[in-house]
Amino acid sequence: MFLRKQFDKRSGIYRSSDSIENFKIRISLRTLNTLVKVPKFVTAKPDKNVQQDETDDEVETQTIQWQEKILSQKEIKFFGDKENCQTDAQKEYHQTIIRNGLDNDGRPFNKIFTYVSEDSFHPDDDEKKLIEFIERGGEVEEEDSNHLITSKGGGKRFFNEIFGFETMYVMADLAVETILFTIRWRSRDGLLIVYPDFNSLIINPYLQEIDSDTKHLFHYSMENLSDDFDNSEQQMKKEIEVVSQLKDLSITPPSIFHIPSRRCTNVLFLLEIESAERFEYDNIHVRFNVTLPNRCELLDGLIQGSTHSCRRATSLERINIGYCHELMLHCNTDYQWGDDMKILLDVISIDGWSRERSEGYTMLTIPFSPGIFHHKLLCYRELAENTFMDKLKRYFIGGRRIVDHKAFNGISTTNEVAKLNRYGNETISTGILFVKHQILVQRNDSLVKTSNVGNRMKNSAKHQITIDDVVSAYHLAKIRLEATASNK
Amino acid sequence: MAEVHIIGQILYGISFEEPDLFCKWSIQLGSNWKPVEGYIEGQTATSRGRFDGHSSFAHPIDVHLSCRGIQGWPKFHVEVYAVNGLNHFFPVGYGFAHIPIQPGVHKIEVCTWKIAPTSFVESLQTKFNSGGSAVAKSDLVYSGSDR
Repeated sequence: MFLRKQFDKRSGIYRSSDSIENFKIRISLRTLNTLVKVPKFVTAKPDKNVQQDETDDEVETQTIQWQEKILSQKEIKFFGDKENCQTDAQKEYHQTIIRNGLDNDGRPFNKIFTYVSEDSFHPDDDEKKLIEFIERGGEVEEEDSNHLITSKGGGKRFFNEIFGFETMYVMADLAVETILFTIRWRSRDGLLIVYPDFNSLIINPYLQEIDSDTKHLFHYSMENLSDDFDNSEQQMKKEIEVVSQLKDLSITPPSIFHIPSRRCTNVLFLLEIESAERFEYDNIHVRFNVTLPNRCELLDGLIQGSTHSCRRATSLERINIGYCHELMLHCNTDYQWGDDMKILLDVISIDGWSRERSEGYTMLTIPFSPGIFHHKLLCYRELAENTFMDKLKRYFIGGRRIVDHKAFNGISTTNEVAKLNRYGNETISTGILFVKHQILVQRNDSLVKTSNVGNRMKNSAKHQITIDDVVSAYHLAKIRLEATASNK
Repeated sequence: MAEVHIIGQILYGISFEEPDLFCKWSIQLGSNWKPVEGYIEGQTATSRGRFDGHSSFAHPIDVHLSCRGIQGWPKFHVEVYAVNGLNHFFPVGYGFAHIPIQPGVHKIEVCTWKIAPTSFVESLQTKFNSGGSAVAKSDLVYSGSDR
């Protein structure tokens, strides 16, 4: 019914560890003679590749293997003449034409043909896609990409040489040469990119409209006929490799993904200060200060910051702040679990007369356990003396007494805090801050989990055992045993 | 390279004062991240009239990203615009949220804010639904510096 429906053309990206020689596809091309399905009577004798289905639309099919060259009518005419053949590949085409008698006029006309790597075929929009892909892959520095495309064909050569892609185009001769499918293969990691993706002629054929003397409509599809990969042989090979790798215990990580070195952890910390509620004055902003634990190094981000000033909307009591912050930390695994990251938050209001008032302080302790956490932080404000004069001073003049947050909250840069004494301080409760944080922990080796979860607070680095430790301890024990046995 | 798939939808907006809203969204990535498939920005349809203070957008998001490092974790950035009777649109909310780092189903609430009017004329304008200031540099919304 909906023959003119355009189905989305998307790239299909596949990975295969099989050899590309086993790649086989079937291309079907249907010429739409009519948009209405009308049953037809028996037709003339059918061609080898052309089938007549119920609606009398011709369907041409072709089974193609990787880099199989099928010549178009234009190429047959061109390479049929020996003088036009310059490269070796072209001379081979000429031989094929002569051998199979392809340039006889009586032969039926095949619409589907292919361009392979040896043909110097450059579709127009290839360059733009190449540049996108190169930048996407991130394998080339920004400066180099400007030098890439200097001459016609230069881009494709660069692409194929540097990235190791082999390309094949499935074309159709429909009044103009149209690219039906582009297939790219990279053998080093088994990456196969097919544009547009595999489909079925019955379910979701791709539509091609050609406007020449009249409007022509075609449906085409590509089906994957490759045999299923036989896994058993490959699996045996892998098992042998794993056994030999256990000897040196090194599993090479992918060269492209950044991972920390052994016994180190990367921690990504994402902080969102979402909203505030029930503060005394309007037009508040939040300042924060992060204290990192010992032996943690800051790779990216700032440890101090401030949000913008936010006012309450008349209809809502909650003030939306919507502030983001990101920190990237690098930790040695021998840090104490009890040594967490602490964030001190300070809520300040500024009114129309530029009077600053302290609206509240609060502290948030962040242990480095991965996950997403929401906090409702209750803030308090210190009172110098709870007298009427104080209240008047706060109203008329404002004023922020700078509290030494670190001393007040027992955060010390040295390890010799005897006791935290807050005697003599008086505070009053103020509003609430809603904060969300997310932690992502990235490590290179896997920890053997201790069975006693309750002892987590006592665990220090000495108790964090990795699989590498277990295996190397095993080897050491084996060597000792052999030494003892041989001494006896 | 590691790959992340983000599949979801922008469901609705609540508690906005203006009734007719649409939302421009984008996913901001750090330098280690690249989009492989899908759109990383878009605009929802306008949701006109509201029942219960609730504007439904129901806009799908389907993105495939690849990265070579966890730094620059993607953030979801939204700008909500209101449409008045004369078909003019003006911003009524900026907001952002980090994409969750754990795989699974998440419901994210994005708190939005808008630029407050600085003069009496501007406050009249916002009251009568004909204007609102826009952010000059849109990366103010999703980066913390320069606030």
